[in-house]
Amino acid sequence: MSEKELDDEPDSTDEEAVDSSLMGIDVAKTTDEDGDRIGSTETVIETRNLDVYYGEERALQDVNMDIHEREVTAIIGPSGCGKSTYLRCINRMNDLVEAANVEGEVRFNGTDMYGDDIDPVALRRRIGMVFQHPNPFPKSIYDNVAYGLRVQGRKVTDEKIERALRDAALWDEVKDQLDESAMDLSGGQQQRLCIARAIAVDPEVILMDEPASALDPIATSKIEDLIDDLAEEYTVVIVTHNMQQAARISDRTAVFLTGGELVEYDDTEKIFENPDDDRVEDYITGKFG
Amino acid sequence: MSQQRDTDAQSLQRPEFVVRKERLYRRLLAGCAALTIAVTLGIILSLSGGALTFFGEVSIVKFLTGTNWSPLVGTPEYGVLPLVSGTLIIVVGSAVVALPIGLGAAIYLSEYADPRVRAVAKPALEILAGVPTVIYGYFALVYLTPILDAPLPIEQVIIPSWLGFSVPIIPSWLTFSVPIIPGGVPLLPEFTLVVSEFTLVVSEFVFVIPSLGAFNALSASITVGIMIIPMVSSISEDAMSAVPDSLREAAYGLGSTKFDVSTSVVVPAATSGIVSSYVLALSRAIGETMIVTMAAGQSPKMPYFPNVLQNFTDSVEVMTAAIIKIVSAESLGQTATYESMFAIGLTLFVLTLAMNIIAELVRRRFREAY
Amino acid sequence: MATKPETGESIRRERRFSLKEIKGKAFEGILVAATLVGIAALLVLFGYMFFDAVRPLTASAEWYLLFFATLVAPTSAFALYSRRHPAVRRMNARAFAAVFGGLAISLAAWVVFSATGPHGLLLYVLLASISPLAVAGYGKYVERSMFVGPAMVVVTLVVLLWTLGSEVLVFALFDLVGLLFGWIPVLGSLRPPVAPSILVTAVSTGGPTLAVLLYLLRRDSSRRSFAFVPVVAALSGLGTAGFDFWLQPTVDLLPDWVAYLGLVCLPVAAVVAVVVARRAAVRQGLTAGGAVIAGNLAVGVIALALSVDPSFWVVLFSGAVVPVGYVVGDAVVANRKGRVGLLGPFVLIGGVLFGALLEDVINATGPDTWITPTLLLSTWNGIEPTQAGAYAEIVGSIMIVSVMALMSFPVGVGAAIYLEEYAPETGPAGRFANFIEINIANLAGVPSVVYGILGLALFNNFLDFPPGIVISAGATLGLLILPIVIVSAQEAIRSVPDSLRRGSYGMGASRWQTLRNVVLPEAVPGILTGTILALGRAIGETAPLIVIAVPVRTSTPSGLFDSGAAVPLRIFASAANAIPAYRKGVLAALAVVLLALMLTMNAVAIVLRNRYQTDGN
Repeated sequence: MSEKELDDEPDSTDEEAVDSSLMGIDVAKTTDEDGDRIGSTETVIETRNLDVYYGEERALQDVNMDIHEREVTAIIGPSGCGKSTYLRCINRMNDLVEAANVEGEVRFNGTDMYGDDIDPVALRRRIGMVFQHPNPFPKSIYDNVAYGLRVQGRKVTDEKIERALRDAALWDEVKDQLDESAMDLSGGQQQRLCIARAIAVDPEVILMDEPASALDPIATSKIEDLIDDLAEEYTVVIVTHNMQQAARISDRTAVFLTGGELVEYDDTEKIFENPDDDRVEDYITGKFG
Repeated sequence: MSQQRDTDAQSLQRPEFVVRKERLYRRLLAGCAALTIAVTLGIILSLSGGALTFFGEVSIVKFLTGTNWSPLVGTPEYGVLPLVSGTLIIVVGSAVVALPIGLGAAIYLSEYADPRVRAVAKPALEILAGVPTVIYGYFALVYLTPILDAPLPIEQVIIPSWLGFSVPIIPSWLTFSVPIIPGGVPLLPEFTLVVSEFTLVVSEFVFVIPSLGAFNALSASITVGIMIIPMVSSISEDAMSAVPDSLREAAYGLGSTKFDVSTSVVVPAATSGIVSSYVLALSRAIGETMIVTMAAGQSPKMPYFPNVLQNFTDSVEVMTAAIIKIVSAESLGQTATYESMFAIGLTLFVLTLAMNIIAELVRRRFREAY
Repeated sequence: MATKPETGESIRRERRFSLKEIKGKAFEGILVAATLVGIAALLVLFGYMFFDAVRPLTASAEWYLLFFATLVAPTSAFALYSRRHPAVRRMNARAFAAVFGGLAISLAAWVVFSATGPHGLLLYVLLASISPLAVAGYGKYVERSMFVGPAMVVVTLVVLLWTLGSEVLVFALFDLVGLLFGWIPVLGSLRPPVAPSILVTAVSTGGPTLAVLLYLLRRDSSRRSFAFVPVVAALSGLGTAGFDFWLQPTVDLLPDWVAYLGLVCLPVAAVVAVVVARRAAVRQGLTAGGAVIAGNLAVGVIALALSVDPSFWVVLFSGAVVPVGYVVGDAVVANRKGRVGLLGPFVLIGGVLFGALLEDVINATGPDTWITPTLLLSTWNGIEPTQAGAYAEIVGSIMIVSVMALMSFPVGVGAAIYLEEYAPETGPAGRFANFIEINIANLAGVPSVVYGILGLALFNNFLDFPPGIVISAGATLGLLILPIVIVSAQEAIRSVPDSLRRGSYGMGASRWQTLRNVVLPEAVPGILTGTILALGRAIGETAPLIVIAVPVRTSTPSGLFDSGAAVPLRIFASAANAIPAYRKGVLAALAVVLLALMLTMNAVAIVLRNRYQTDGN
């Protein structure tokens, strides 16, 4: 069990390992260029002693983790390790699963988001989510992007729609067919539309649950570029089973292993080059999971 | 920053009017759902209310064991057994028609039929369940009874008359009369021509097989049977389609033919579904009203015992038809006869409810078979 | 090596006699026969009745030639053409729906309205639209508009219920009190103390006032807000008095065709305006709505100038011309693909007209059919079969089906939504939902005649309605189809993929918003399919109508509270008619009409379902 005190983690990332990778994974060099992203001490989401049960089954064990503002945090681990469960705890999507029972504390900007007086709907308006399979609504592209604004009772303007689509790097491809059905787009375009839909409402945090796993390599690389750009404005938490992807795009990485245990959480480089825990090293080098 | 956090906490709370609105919608919708319970309660209350008054006047034992049902003539008697026997006759007759045909169609559709054939045949069969029952009743009375009552039209074409016999469906032409409806007018003048001279040849069998009345249980039960075929075939087919393909493949892998797979793998595995479809279909037959009222007539009687066939060629009265008869009788007021309708209704309701519950239990009991 | 040929032998199909194979073939043959028996039964049923109703043998060969040349050939050619072009087919389907759906609806509306008279219905329409509009206006005025939606629904329901049956309701209340407390000496003999109309006025003024008062008291409101109480009292009093002394007399004074205009044209214009506004902009929506009203007025004025009664033409214009115009306009302006498909219905209509024209010219004799305008448009004649029609029964059936649809659709869909989207799986609420589901399954198996007894006890005996009136017939059948509507709506809602719901929740939509914006739009075609099938089945329901004493009458029902009439009742009543021309002529024709109606509804439902399924993929 990882009883990591996250405040202890080194502020500087200077101690880069010379040996650049354990198994040929190129770790993102973005940390150098966007040095300001790493080390931001502003915590958006704090998780303390989080346990989740599905009926009798324990899906998460005593997770402690802080997610920092304007960073990409990747969560990796073998399937069934609870990484999606953790993600769904952050915007209380687990409320929709009746058997799920959440214990412990998750704080969003310092507020306990599982408090009695907290409205999960209001919470989700500020913590957006993108799902594994693209799930645009069977409406026009415009209406898809406008959906969040509408349900939140905010004004829909063409500018907002255009900005969201531009931010999602989709504008140039769809600007002439905004009134056509979103179902006619390709899978990659649909997923970027879902991202545009999520960022149209200006959330503080965007959660992504394996957003590229159902896509082809070209679409995947577009999504990855997009995530990199998004981190300048938003806090992004991404679950992925693809380690290369995590290494390429994230600033910090959390490794969950079977049983819902958070084994290690640190700067991405550290995780991929010099992990503390042997199990993490085994997992990253492919000996495990 | 701390100030922003305060507003954060505030904005994460759910505004009261939103809570109230969602609660209002939830309650409105739950009210709609609860209305179905009100319907059930309404049915039970209205049936038992009338039935209780009735049983205050006529003892329940007499009602359940009496063998004479004559509520409208002379001194009224309220024995429900003749009605139950009528219903039973219709149920047996329709079961003979529907259960094998429905099962056969279900096996065919599930195991043998080409998907394109199934796409046409299944909805076509289901139309049978959607035809208004009054049209079935009309068909049974005006078309089916005369057809059953006449020799096969084929005989005149195919079987030369000098052979000296005819091929009847139901040999009512053995008698020499033309079916008459109560009004005294020949029901089917066009069929009087068909009475063939060869009837004389076999006329010694007259005493064995009685003639078919204008109202008879036979055509009613055939028609009810046709109506419930789709209930049997659809539900059974669903049960058979639910049998996992791995079972079929295992049997084929052991060298079974399609016949073996159908009869010894699929049908046994789907037994619960088939049985529950049978029970549901028969419960539908019990509750069927218009066909039996129109085609089977309204003369309540206990079953003929040794001569079982006569039960079908004669007119019978079933429970539902008795209700229609009492309702149609003018100005009864709050008499025991009027209230007896509620007692029959209650009997019907309890009977069909029990059958539906049995069907559901059977389905559940054996669902974990695979 | 020696064994190999043997193996080859044994796996080879046995050529000659194989018991196994014969058994298999025989079995398959039996199964095919079983399936065919069912389908053959259907064909025999239709065949006999169709033969007697239409009498196809009485037509001359020329007539058939003409029939094929002008009707069958062009329509099947067009159908073949459109099969190959999906865009054309889609447009063809829309054009068919607009032309024939519009015609059917406007004709049905016309016969019902002309039976009941337009003024009373106009009053309902006005009341049912004024009050929710007032609530919507109030909602615009106060900022917290979240309550406006439900409040509009509730107000409309209350107003409609009250105007329809206030006196009945008040007296039913007294009856209920008498039933519950009748054994207490004084209370048992208590009757409403004053004249019913005064009582009704008192309740409709006092009810809202009391409701507001209680609401304010419960919420500990400030003293100032109690000023609302007299305002509400005054408003509701004014409303009641205004209804009695101003609105009703004013409406009654309107000329017929103006009443029809209000009854038909205003709702159609409103629907068109909303549809266009949703698709384009509010301004265009208003223009389109205005165009509908202007067109209607023009039709009225032209008819008056020609000294024709404009009523029918106004209804036809709103019901048929407007939807056709909408589809054509949409095809010309927005959706230009497959415009040829618009011609479909006109090929059919043109074929019929051209054929009818040629029929006289070449002197072809059509079949001496029983399905004639007389059958559909005149009332029953017990002496002369060729003069017998079922107009009254058709009007009655349309009325009963409308009441049935209005009652069972909202309740059924509401219940389905609750069970699928709201009800939890565990806890007391979960058990409640589970119990309701079992209960619905059992209700679906209750014989229809038992529903009849329920209707008899509830409406005829308990509420003291006159026996067999339209509203109790419609309500009884509505309860009968409720379980079917609920179950099919549940299936439709369940088939909406969960990923869409999650997407919506992830965007911060509430349950109701998700439902309204994502789930229901996807589920509507499926829900409609199930409802249409249920209605099609209920059209032929007879037993409950007999039990609640719907009469077999020869005049059209004059309103919801007049005795009903229904086509199946006529078939039941005349099936034993001794005269063959009735038994196998008129009745066969009626049965064919009823069957054709049911098959059309089935076909519409299936087309809807197929379209929905292809859209979903």
